[in-house]
Amino acid sequence: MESMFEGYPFTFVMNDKDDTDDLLLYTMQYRFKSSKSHHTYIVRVEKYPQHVYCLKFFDKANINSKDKYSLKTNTFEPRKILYTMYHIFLEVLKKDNKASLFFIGAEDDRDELGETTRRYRLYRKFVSSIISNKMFEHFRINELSLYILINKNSDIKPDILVNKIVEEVTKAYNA
Amino acid sequence: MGRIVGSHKTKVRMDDGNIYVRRVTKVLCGNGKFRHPVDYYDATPGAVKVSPKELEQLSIPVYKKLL
Repeated sequence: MESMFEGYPFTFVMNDKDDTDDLLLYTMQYRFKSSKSHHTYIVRVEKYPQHVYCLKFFDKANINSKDKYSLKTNTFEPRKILYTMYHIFLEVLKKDNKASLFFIGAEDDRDELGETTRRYRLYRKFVSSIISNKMFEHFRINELSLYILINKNSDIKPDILVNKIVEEVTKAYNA
Repeated sequence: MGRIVGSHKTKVRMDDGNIYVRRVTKVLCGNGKFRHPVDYYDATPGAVKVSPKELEQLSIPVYKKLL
């Protein structure tokens, strides 16, 4: 019987370097295909200084859309997709045991810009359900729909690292 | 269900100092009537450390902590 905690099998595609963001070191790109909806998803794990990673994913069908992170797929399989994200994050943790993670819940057509979006509430609930505070310290910034998991092995104090991430995300929002 | 036609937000400060937003959304239903669903969310500015108690409250009971 298939376990509830299993995600879809995923493959590493490539390390992508981009000069558009000064802080971005490189992006690890993964992909997986849903056996239920037959949609392919692209997962981008962006690496920033101080072992900070940002996890993003979107449906490959929307790759050319500027709203690719906001569009709904209506495939009704969020749990399995989110478990896949979790397993991808474990892969990142294997490579870098000091990895800290942050993610933003993109707003959809029912949300107001940035503030406690529906996606953010879902991701927050999922993360708080499966990740305890043994290895990570959890921080939430509702006004930016931003959730941060700071690794307790990190060299920098969690509060300083969180403030730095919030500062950079706020800058990106206002840009 | 229905189409969102507007929302109204009110900030509420609780006794413990936490700020919450009370959001009333106006939704136009298919039958021409309006619904006014209400939801609340924490609007404390800046980064908030999630306490073990809050983590427990947020989590879905049947899910196992994997990490």
